[in-house]
Amino acid sequence: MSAISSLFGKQPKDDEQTVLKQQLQEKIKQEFAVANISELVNRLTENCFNNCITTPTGSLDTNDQNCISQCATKYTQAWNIISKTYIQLARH
Amino acid sequence: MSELDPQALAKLDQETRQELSQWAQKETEKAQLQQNVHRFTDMCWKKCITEPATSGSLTSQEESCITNCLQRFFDTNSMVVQLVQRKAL
Repeated sequence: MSAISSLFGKQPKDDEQTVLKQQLQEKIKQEFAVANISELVNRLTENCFNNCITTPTGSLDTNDQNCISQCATKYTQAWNIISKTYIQLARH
Repeated sequence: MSELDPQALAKLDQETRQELSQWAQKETEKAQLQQNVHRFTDMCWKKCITEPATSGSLTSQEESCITNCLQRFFDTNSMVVQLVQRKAL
């Protein structure tokens, strides 16, 4: 069967193979997404902790919380700038 | 997240395996690119952001510092490559 159909180029994939392939791709994509988000969380936490918590006190006070939330937004902004600039530079 | 049946994976035919392997290579390259963005953001944040955050957006100075930081890092990288090629190191 495969010998004859191969004469006519690509044969339609049987469903089981296609489904398996898509499941695997989905799974791998999720793994990459999790790795990416945890890398962001780790680096953002460290940098905003250093930026905002200069002298650790008994709890995160309102000032600390405001700073962390603003810092997180700024860090994400910085990430986007680096991403855009890096892609431009990589093209040249 | 559902687990894939390892026995089902063993059923993958040669062609599908090859397609998957090429696809995985592209995904890995994308992931490496993102990993670099994390590294550079971390590096340039440390250089450019010296004051605690008082607003939810980068100042224009911080913004241009971050862009300059990455560009100068790439300049530094190509200069080092040239030095190595000229065996100046």
